Amino acid sequence: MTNKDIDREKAVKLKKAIIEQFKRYEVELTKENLLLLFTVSKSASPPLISDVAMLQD
Amino acid sequence: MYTYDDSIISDCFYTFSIATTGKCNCACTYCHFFAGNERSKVAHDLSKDIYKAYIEYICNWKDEINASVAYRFTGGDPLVMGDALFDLAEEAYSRIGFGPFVLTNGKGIDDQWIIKAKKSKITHVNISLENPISPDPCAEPPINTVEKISKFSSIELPLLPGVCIIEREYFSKLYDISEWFYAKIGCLPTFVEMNFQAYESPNADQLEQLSKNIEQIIQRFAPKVPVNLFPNISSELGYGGKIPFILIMDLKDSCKLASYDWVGNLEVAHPTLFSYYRRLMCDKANCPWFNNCRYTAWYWQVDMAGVSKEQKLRDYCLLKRTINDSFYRVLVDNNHKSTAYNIDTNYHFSRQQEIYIPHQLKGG
Repeated sequence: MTNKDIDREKAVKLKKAIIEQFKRYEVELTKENLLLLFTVSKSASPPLISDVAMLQD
Repeated sequence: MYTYDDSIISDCFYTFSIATTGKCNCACTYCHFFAGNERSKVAHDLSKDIYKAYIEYICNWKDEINASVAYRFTGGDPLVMGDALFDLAEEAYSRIGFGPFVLTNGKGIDDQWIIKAKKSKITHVNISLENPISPDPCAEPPINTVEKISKFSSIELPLLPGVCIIEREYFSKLYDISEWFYAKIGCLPTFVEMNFQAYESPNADQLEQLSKNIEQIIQRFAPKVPVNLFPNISSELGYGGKIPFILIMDLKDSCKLASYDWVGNLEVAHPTLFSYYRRLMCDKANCPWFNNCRYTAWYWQVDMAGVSKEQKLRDYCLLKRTINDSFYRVLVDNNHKSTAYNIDTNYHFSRQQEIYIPHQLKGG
C-alpha cells in the first residue's frame, strides 16, 4: 500500500467512525430522549441560511 | 489529471429551500440576505404562482429521482406570514404527501403559534440561535430562544436548535458555548462560521483554538448527542455520513420554474438549483480529505468582504483540514498528525469554474 493509499484510507475510516457514532444515537438515545431521536432521524436540514441575493453574483 | 472517488459521497440527500417571504422581524447585523437586498424591495411574500410551480417541481422530483428529499420554508422569517404559512404547508402537503419544516429566528413563536402549528402540516421547526457570549444586539437573545425550545418542543412539533454562528474570535470559547447550550436544552445547535459580507480570515492561533475546542466537544458530547460542527465546510461529518445539498427556490424564481414547461425534463433546472455548489479543482490527491473536497459552497470561491477569492479558498482548505483532522484524532487515531497539504489556488482558478451537480443525479 502506498502512502497515498494510506492517506486516502483515512477518509474512509473517518466516515465509518461517523456512521458508527450516528448508529449509537439511534440505539442509545431511544429510551432516554425520544425527541432527540426524532431530531436525528427526521431533521434532514442542512444548516444553511436561505439565500437570495448572494446567488446573483 | 486528479480524479475523485465518487463512492465516498454516494449517499446524498436533498432539501429544497423555499423562501416563502422576504419579510423579517429581526435585523441581525451580519444578515447576508438583507446585505444584498434592500428591505423595502423584498418586503413581500412569495407569489402564489411561483409557489405552486415550486410544489409541482418538488412533487415531480420526489417521484422521478431516487434520493432522499425534504423541503423547508425560509425567508426572511416565515413566521411573519401568520396563518398564511399554515395554508402553504397544507397546500404543499396535499400535493407532495409530506409536510415541510420551518427555519426561523424564533421570535414569532408563542403559545398561540404553537397551538396552530401543531394542527398544521409542519413537521418540525429549526430555530437559529445566537452565540450566548456575544449575541447580535438586533437578534433574538439566545436565552429567550432556549427557553422557548424547552417550553414548547414536543413530539407533535419538535423545536430543534438550528444554526449558531461563531465568529473566529470565539473559536476559543466553542467548548464553553457548547456547555451552555447542553445545560439549557440537552443538545447542541449546529455551529457554523461567520461568512458572507461579515467574513474574516482566521489566524493561526484561532485555528489552533478551533482544533482544541472541537476535540474537546467531540470527546465530551459525541457519545451523548449529535454533534454538527461547521457543515458548510465539512458536511460529510455532520449527518451520519450522508451528504446534504440545499436546492434554493428563491422569491423571484431564479430557476424560472413558473415560466416554462419542465415536466419530463427536471434536470433543466439543476444548474440553477445547484448554483450554491461549485466544483473544486484540487491537485493534492494525497491529502486524506481530497475525496471530500470536490466542491464548496460558492462563497468560498469568490472575492468578498475585502478577502480575495484565493485567500478565501486557502482559508477553506485550512479550516477543512483543521476540522477533519480534529474529528479523526478523537474518533479514529489520536496520533494523527495535522494534514499539511495546501490547495494550489492557481491550479483551481486556472480551470473552468463549474457548478457542482452530484454524481448521483447525473445517472453515473
